[in-house]
Amino acid sequence: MTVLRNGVKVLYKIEEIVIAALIMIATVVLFSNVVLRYGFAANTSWAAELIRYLMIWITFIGMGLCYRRGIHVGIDFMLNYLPKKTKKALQLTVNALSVVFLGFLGYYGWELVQFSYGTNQITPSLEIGIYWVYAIIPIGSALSIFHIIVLSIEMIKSGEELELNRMSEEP
Amino acid sequence: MTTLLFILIIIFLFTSAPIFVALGLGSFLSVVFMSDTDPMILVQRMFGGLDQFALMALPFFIFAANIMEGGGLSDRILRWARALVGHMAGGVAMTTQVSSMFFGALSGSSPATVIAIGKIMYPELLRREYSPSFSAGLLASAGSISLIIPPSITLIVLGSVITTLSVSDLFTAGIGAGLIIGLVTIAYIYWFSKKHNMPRDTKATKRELFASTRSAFWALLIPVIILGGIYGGIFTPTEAAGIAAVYALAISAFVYREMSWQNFYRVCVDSAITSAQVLVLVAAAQILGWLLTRGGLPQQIATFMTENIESVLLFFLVLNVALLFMGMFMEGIAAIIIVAPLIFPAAMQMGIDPVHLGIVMIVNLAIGMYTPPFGINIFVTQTISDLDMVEMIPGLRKFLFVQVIALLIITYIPASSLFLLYLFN
Amino acid sequence: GCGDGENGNEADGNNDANNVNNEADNNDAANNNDTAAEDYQELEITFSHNQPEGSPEYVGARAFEEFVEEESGGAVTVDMYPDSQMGSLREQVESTQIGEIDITMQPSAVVSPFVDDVKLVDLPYLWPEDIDQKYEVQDSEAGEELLGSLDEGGFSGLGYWPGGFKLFTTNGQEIHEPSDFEGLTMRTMESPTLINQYESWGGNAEPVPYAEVYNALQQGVVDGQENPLQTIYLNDFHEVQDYVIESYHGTMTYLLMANQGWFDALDEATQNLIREAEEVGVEAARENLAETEDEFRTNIQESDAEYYELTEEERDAFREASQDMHQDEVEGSEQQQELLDGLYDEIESVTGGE
Ligand code: NA
Ligand code: NA
Repeated sequence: MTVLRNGVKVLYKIEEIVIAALIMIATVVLFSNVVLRYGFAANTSWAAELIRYLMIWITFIGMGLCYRRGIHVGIDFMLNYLPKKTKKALQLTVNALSVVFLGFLGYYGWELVQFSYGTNQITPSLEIGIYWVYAIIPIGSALSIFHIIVLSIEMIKSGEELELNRMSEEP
Repeated sequence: MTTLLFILIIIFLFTSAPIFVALGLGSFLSVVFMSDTDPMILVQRMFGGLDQFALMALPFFIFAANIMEGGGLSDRILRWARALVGHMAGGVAMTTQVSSMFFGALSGSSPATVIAIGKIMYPELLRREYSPSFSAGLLASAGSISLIIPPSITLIVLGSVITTLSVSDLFTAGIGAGLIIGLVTIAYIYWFSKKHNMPRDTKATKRELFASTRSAFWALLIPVIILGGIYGGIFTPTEAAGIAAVYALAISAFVYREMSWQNFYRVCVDSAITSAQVLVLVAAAQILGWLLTRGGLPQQIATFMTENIESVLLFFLVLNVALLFMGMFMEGIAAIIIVAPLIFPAAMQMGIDPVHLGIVMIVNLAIGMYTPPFGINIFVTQTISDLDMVEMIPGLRKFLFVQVIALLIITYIPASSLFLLYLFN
Repeated sequence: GCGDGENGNEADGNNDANNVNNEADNNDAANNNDTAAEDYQELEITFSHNQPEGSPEYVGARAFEEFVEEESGGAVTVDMYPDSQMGSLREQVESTQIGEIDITMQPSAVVSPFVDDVKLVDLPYLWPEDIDQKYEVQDSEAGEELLGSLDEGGFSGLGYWPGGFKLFTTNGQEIHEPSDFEGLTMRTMESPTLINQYESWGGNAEPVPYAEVYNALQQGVVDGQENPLQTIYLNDFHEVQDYVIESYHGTMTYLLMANQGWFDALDEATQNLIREAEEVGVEAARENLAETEDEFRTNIQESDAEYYELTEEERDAFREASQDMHQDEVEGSEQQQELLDGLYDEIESVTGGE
């Protein structure tokens, strides 16, 4: 169990480092492109595309971290009025729903990766295979499923409900 | 299939599942089991929903706002607002409103505004003998303005869900609407404070005003950079957001010196995660919008509305009532994602200006942020004030009434929010 | 003024659509006596494109729809999604590849990241400057062969649809020669070839989604763009640009293409029906384009933007400067070299080697 817990912690840290790095790179690329445009009359043709793809990577990696932090937006004000046992059962049900959805997303995401790999579609500016970008969808889904399962185990073991789906406003 | 889709989504929403899961799972189940459509297309639609450069303003604005909060910019704006209006009747309450608006012009987020302003102003309000309920109501409602005043994450999402809407245009109209709400609220505070003879602060000396202005100067430049950059034809909203982030970082690190590396790392992580939190919703919304288009539902609603709702006046009345009701239970982005694709085609057929409609929607949803029983600004204000919801209601009711008046002005006098747009074009 | 022109055009567009409708109605009445319906199996065709009512593309697509429905006596229907309702251009191509859209009409430039050979259509100064000669080359065997390369992406190429010659529009710099692009950033469609085109002339290029072009021009994110007259005029691009340059450097050519698996699985009668409808549609689109183009041009000339047509000599200089790029683009692909040589030959025979 400790091994698992430490493993989860390391994974969690890596994910955080990756998304922090991605948002910094995106900002630097955006800023440099504006400087290039006004300072040197020289746009890159690929900045906008790269920024979009970096943010899409952040989204699908961040999706799992949002489960971890319990900040996915849901309509759950009524949770507070439920008895503890019911609430816990409901939260486990919700976790199961999430896993089913992420299963679909990951499975068909993987199909999309294979499909675009097979049909050789490239991105217009960076001219890389678009499957590199699509790949984050199954990866992110798998990471999220992993986090949800670990959280559910923790919830069952600890005997108390976690704030898995705390209602959260826009940031 | 559309019927099944809606039944599934509603059931999932009621289980309190995350909204993106409810939308996504409902869509996958109905497509996989009820249609010949390749489910791969749903993944492609989610990707497509995110693959828009205009939408990238969202993570950059979140990033900028987090840097500003961590870098001591918000405190300085508050001190400046107090030196400016603190001595007038209702001065402290006005300070709360004005600094919320200014903070709203820095950040795209409403709860962040409530926390940043509330932590300092709530005790101050109590000290000036405003009731806890009044003070909490003011904070919760004033914070909602940052949804309307650009930059606004909610407006960016609206612009990405309804692709024909330009984020720049929405931002421009948001300035007008935000000013109207601000003015109506300030008028009310003035009247209330005069009537109850609330204590005032002594007037700030010229020197104090100068000192606070100088201290806040760099922070106050941010709205100038963002709005000036967009309307001066220098940046896109997305670029303006990125520039604001870099600028705020430079100020925090080199001028105010309140940003450590450790801090900065946390800000990066938090900004990325918060962005993901909103962007997964946008992605899921795209699936729903697409399935609805395929099913022809927006067209059916449009036909129904044009046949049954004859006047634009009535359309807006129905819309306002419906959105205020939704706002009691849902938060802004979720409501936009579900409602906007359904009503925009109808409104277009009725000849309604889409930007005006967008702004009316946003004002409704901003009000929803603090209407009980569910409103994130209420919850955030609770953590500051230690009041429970019932204790907050009298104060919330006052400001709800005031902002509904502003809503009516914005709804029925389109020029009130759109005048800047007319001016720019 | 401008506003009047716009209203006039919209009315024209509607009239055209109505004319098509009227014809359809008449034919319908005639067809009711036939037993045409029995020849075709029930089928609903999902058809997507990007253009609004009033555009040649829309008129052509409607003509396709009317023809299919009346010829089949209503057995075959078209579920039409204009105006990019089915997603961005790239997404529509991909959805057709996946099979969610049956038929789509997309610019060749947007298709080229899917099927590289198709980029030949967008090589600068390739096509004859006479529009009828251009159509002739496209309808020739060499043109058909290039269209056939869509197979490799899982598409059945049904035909080339017209969008007219593209014009440059710019801010701050009137264009007379390739080096005038130095220091300018031009918006292009999402196509590596179009990016290379400007880079080979010494400029910069940035792909911006169609829906964001107006704002990008207004905000100075890009200095210019290229599009046919109707796109410039109907989107008001000329209002946020200083110069409109008639350059004849390239054409907006749409590929009408179907998902290959879907098309191959249709019975022969239906396949022929679709092929015939394609001919009817492309004819309607070509006619409408010819009718409206002069009017769009006049309206733009009357606007505040400076209108300039490159002289013969200037075009020759551009043509000269673009030859290396033609070779660079096909470098390393024998197949593409062959396709290009085929086009060169055909162009020479059609234009009489001018
Ligand atoms: Na704001
Ligand atoms: Na509410």
